[in-house]
Amino acid sequence: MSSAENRPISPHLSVYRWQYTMALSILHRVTGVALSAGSIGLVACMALLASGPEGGALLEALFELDIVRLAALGWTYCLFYHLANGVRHLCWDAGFGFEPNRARLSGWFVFLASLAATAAYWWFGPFGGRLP
Amino acid sequence: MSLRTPLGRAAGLGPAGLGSGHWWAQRVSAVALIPLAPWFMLRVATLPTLHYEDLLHCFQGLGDATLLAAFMLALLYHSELGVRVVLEDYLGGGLRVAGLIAFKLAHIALGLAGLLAIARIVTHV
Repeated sequence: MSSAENRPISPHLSVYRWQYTMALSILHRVTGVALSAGSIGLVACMALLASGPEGGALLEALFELDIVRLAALGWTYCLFYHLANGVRHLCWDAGFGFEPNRARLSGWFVFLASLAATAAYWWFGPFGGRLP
Repeated sequence: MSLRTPLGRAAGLGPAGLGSGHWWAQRVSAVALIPLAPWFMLRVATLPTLHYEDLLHCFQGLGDATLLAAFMLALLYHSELGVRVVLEDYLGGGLRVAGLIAFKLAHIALGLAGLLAIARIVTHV
């Protein structure tokens, strides 16, 4: 038998019992992709800021729109979640907290902390509680 | 059963020929973003207002402009590394190659646009 046939194949996700840590893992990827898309918005904001007073006025007008504020709120949550869960992943890489109980506990912490950070940022931050 | 050849193990190369370099770069850029992302969020949050002049002046200092450039470049580099994995997972064949090229070029274009914007913000009077 050749080594190619003998290789272990991808994990069959369907054989695993559903656990919320899986949702956290999927959310890490989803927020990462969302942040990638959001980086277009970030660079666009920087370009508008650099382009002069007309661009600046357009930037201010854009952030008065509900849809833009909603996107910014989503971006904030994605950033805080991906940041917190990224630190969790780096801890695992360094060999800490990978035991099932501790991984589940840190998962809850990351989920709640990122929600709390997003709420605090929008309440106390530059938008002063002015939600979309 | 080891699936790796001794040469592959010594060179640290995986089946794609790139091996641990991508994994390591993703971690290094992640570590860079741990202070840079909160810095950016706090810098914007502590402005007196979100008006154009305040935003402009905020990033005109050399230190702030440097940190903004570092944040943006680390973000885009980390983004390219992450998007690459997602594309490799879900696309195959020619679509994968086209996607990898398109997204890499898009990230480079965004990085250039961001750097030029920062240069113009710094030199704005």
